[in-house]
Amino acid sequence: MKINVMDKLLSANDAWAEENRLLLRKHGITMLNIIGSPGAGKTTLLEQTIALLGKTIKMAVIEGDIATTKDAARIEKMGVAAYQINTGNACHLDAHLVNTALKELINDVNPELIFVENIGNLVCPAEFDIGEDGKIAVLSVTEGDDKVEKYPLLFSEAEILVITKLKLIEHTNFNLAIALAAFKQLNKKGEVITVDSCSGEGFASWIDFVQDCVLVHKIAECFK
Amino acid sequence: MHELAFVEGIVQQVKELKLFHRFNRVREIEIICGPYNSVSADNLEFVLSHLSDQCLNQAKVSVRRVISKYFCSQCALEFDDHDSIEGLCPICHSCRSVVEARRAPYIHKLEVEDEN
Ligand SMILES: Nc1nc2c(ncn2[C@@H]2O[C@H](COP(=O)(O)OP(=O)(O)OP(=O)(O)O)[C@@H](O)[C@H]2O)c(=O)[nH]1
Ligand SMILES: [Mg+2]
Ligand SMILES: [Zn+2]
Repeated sequence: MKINVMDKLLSANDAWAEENRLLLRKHGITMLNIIGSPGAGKTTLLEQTIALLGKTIKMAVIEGDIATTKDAARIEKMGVAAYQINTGNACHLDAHLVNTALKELINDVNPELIFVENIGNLVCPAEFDIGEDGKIAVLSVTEGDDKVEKYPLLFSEAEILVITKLKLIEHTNFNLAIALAAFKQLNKKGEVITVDSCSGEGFASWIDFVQDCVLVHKIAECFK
Repeated sequence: MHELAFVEGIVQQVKELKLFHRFNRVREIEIICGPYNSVSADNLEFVLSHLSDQCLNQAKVSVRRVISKYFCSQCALEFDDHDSIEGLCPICHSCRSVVEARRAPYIHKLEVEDEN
């Protein structure tokens, strides 16, 4: 006998993601999901963002790592509340894990903006909707310009591609034009920004992007 | 590792379907997903084969990748925005059974063995 089903494999996760979206809208919070491979520069991007925007926007960070609280400690050192999730061996954050963190951060700090630093991985985190307002793909020049084509799901869904470690580009064979062309092929709407998080180069466009995201949700709230 | 979450979804849905359709074994699971989802039939079969659940542990999995935006579960047509009015299937005009196929993996069909 054949049975027609047509249900999402991740429907349990998606129900939590929807719950997270409701929470975010209720409290007027923007949530951005940062995804990139291990060492791509996700935490460093956040540190520099906090340095430049921490006084203007009330932020909090959800840190996803397999082990240790090192990244949460780096964020808290910058004066921003961080909630560390250790997944043990899971390769991604799911919407239920994020829900617990979200509730605690809303209760403790009531932020306007929450960054989620997902587990360092270009594949699995992209499969899971956590209720975010946008996915931020982070790719460093030291990883190679072929990664956009090789890991297409993330890059096809990202709101923006942030290329990091720009100052190191001359020591690599990373071809910016190749990476950009591959990204445009997959993603017609996504923006691309190049930065160096250590020197702060290129951060004006990134900060504009983040501020716009928060503003869009503030305006939407006014029309509720 | 994320295959575990996919298998959890399969187990849950099969449990619910068993309440409506009487069957004791799932022979085949057909999954549809987008072109870029990391869903592998071999990996899913491997995880399923380790379940203690007799109903699922011999299930064969097939994965069909849909390039277009929509997929109609009634007539299996794949189509895009420009082929359709408000996401209705241009062939069978079904709306309920049309899904946005490109993003998430779905269970499309199960082939099951009836009780006895
Ligand atoms: N020169 C340069 N170095 C960078 C930049 N961003 C990160 N780094 C360095 O790259 C290394 C890894 O950076 P992290 O920010 O820890 O990377 P991550 O993506 O958070 O790593 P995981 O959380 O472990 O996945 C550190 O030594 C950083 O100092 C950058 O823009 N320029
Ligand atoms: Mg980090
Ligand atoms: Zn149809």
